[in-house]
Amino acid sequence: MAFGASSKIFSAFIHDSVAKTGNASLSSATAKAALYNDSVTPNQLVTAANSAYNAGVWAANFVSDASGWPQVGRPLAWGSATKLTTFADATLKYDSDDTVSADAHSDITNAFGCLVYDDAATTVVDQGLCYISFGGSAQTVAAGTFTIQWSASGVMSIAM
Amino acid sequence: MTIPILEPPVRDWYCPACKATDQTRQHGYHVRYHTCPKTRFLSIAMLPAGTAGKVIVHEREAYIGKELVQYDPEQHRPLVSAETVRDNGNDLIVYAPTATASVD
Repeated sequence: MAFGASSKIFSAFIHDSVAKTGNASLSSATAKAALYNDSVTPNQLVTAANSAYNAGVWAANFVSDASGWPQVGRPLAWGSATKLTTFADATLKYDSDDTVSADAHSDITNAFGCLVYDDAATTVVDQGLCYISFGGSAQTVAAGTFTIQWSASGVMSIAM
Repeated sequence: MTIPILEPPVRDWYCPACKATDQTRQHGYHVRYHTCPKTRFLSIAMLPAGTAGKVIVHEREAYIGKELVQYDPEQHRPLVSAETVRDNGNDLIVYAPTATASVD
């Protein structure tokens, strides 16, 4: 059991978006990033129900700080980042501002990755959008600030 | 009635790697970042003036494969995080890879 070193979009999210069978959306402003330890074994091909926050493998092994990075995760924000590229771009990119802990004295121990999910999805509650591996190594903060700096390639991308 | 205007507090910051300084005037919790020439031109969290610390860049050791990882702008090495170590703790910037739809 290990988080591994791969970052993937859930196939169920793409399928449900195209088939219009779910209501998780990249256009909503309600995505969150929840942290997990190395005891989670993610799989991009699980059902929508099992991709959701607090379900399937994502129902345990949280990494959190009560005030700085709660178990439900920190919200993604779009102050400067463009949330979604247009249909005319060769790569569909979903981006966000960097996600930062809510205070400067967080204790976060052995975070190996995060689940990005839509907190407003109701067809499948809190359906997962993707998971991100932090490179197969433990990320720990003691009495400090934990920041996820999203890539210039976005939180997720699909090459057309 | 006179309504007092509260000035936001001035906070002094410095970079433990290149010693650059900056000020912010902002209410509430915030972090000041800057692009550090001494740390491969990465965006590094500055420290409040008077706080001792150092910056450590952690490179990725896991196989990259098809992962869209982040590289440092100077040496183009794959990155995991930049850590600012203080006497009483540490701050961390995790350079997250991009999630893709491909199946390995």
